[in-house]
Amino acid sequence: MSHLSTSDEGADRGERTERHWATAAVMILALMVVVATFAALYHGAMPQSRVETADPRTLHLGGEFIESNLGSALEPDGAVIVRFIGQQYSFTPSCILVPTDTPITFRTTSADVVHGFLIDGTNINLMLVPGYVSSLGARFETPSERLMPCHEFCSVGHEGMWGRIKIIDKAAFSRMAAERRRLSCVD
Amino acid sequence: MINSDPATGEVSTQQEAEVNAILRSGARGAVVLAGIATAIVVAIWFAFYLLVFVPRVIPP
Amino acid sequence: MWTSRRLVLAHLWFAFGSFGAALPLGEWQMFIRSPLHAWISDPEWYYRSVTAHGTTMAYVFPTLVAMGFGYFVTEHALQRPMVGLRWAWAGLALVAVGTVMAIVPVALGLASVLYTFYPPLIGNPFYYIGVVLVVVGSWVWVALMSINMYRWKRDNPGAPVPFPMFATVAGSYLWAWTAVGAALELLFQIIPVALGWRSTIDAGLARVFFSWTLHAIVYFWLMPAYIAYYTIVPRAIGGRLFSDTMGRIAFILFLVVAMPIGIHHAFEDPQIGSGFKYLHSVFTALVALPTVLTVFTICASVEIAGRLRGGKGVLGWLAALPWRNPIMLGAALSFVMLGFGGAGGLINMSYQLNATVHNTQWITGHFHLIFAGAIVIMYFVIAYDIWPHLTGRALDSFDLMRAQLWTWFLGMIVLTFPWHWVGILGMPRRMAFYDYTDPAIAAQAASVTMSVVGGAILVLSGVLFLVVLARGQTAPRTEPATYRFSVAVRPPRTLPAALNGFGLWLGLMVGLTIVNYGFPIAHSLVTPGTAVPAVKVGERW
Repeated sequence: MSHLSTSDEGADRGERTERHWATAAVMILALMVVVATFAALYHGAMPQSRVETADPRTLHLGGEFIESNLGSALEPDGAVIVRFIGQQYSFTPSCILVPTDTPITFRTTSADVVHGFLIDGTNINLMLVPGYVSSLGARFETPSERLMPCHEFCSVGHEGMWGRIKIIDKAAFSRMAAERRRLSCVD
Repeated sequence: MINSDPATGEVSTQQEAEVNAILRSGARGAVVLAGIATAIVVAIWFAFYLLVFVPRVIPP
Repeated sequence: MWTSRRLVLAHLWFAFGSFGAALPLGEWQMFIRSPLHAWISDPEWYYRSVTAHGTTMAYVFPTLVAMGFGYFVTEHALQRPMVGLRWAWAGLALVAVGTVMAIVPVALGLASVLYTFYPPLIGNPFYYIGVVLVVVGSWVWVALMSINMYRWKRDNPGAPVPFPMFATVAGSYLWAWTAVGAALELLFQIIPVALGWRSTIDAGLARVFFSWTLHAIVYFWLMPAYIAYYTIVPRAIGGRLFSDTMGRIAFILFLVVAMPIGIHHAFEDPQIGSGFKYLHSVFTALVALPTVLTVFTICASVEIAGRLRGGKGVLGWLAALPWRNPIMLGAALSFVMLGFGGAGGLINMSYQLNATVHNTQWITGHFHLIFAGAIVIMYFVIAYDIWPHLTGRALDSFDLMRAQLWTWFLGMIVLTFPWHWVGILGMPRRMAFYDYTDPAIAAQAASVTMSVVGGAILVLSGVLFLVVLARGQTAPRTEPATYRFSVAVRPPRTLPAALNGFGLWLGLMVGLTIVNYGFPIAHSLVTPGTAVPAVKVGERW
């Protein structure tokens, strides 16, 4: 290695520039964290704060996820809770019905392996881990029909696991909810 | 090794003087280049936030 | 003096050989699920291929590159024969045995669980045991890096550890610690179930353990590339390293902060509360810092070379750079991919923004751009630089090298940019088939087809790379000059202990892990009723 080294003045200048750059870098990253935090709070789609469990072996026997309780439920306060489960290789119900202009909570779990879903064209995205209940709030404003694929590898049938979600007008939903406890668009 | 000139094994006094001169005038090229690159990266982030994420918060 | 020549060569041939085998599998996968191919009839083939491709490219290939390059640095940076040569060969043997043990069940269709092996899907136990052996073999390397550095320090009291070795040891410690997560998952959860000793497994806890490994493993992969940025590129282009100190700080930051941020891979998971998810998001922003520092330091180092070559003006020195030098070309192409890949990574880390793209093809596009692109192109550059020193023969197909680097870059852009786009369009991951006739999906067809073209270019580039190396085996013998690393603008004469050793930083790394992971792990362990039945894959047990 050389005994010579650059004069202190040049190297010091270099070190000052590096420090300024580092400071600028920290500020830019901090800005991103602030904006991301703002996005979380203002846009309000926070992930669940608590961890809840559910036994995949007994989902169909008792508790929140028995078959007669799956589907969309209109709550007394006007909100809607959508309960569904995922298993190899479909969601139940495979077509989810929700109203516009209403606070919606998805509550879901897996009956076997890890699944996940997203709703096309939205930021709604959730994992289904057997043993745990996943919960997410959402809201829709215009009627539409969207794809809801399983997006986590769940073994060889994964590519066939596509659900659907149908968003209908709030009034139409209310009328249907007066007739039936739990709604879906499975026909 | 793949070396471009000056492929000197030992650092010469003359090169030291040149490196000194370069450093004394600051790393302005690097600041501009790295600055532009970082700005592009940050712009991509904001573009995603504003053009992809935000419109889907309440889906159209 | 140079005793590990054949050891390094063995590691790198094994690495690049496995890379060469796994690469066409990836392109086949891309093709088979594209509009260019009809329904595959048995989707299990696809998932088998994904498991083989991922396991090789994630656990075998980069590990061997890091190990081989690490042994190279040990002898050439410390300028003395390495200690523990026989242990090193034993470590390589473990990696080899583990690789074969893992790949055989995968090839037989008994372990199509993907390299992320998310339980309760469970495959053949030999797949997992094979992966464990690969990791254990690499831990032998970690121990040797550490032993060699500390012996040198003992024999050179007060002297600064040569920067290439300092960075290599930092990377090895990072790997050892981050591998613990997957090791815990494999040893205490998955393998007992795979062997039939238990029939249930906590899938959520397994995902937390895996997330421990899953982020920092990519920094382990990144280490050889960044070491090359700092210690090879400035020398190769006739410049100087702008700051030795900033380089050390960057690697220290990676060591401390790369690991305890893995939960950003689990933002949408139910077994972790929002508080810890947010914490990991903030810490992930911190790990972006050493990359931003590196970008500046390397640009400044390259600027010195440009101005020494007569370049003038604020950016005019760029034209004066030795662009015909494959190392210059490779590093520049790497930086372009690093920029775009890094932007995607920053988006993924940003908590709620992650939900827009989680488990879409954006994610797969992202990690191919940043790892297969920015990092692996530097693996090629390292190989081109050190190969004559390993073989004692010239490697001078510079035209081919440049063509290979350009095709890797262009192929990667054509592969991954449309890949990010279909992710934004909502295309889910890890499916063997997509019905492009469905109007809701039809828009994705063109982009997927473009990615197939990109992948084909990459296969060509991979072949070119192996051709360059193979030619090197039969080239005329040379006596390469003594290998050198880059020289810093102000080479340190003494260093504070904090920049010359790792005690403080290892303590911080462990402490941060406890803070960031302690509660989520403990919570899953104490919460009752989270163990679920295993679901076994594969035809014969």
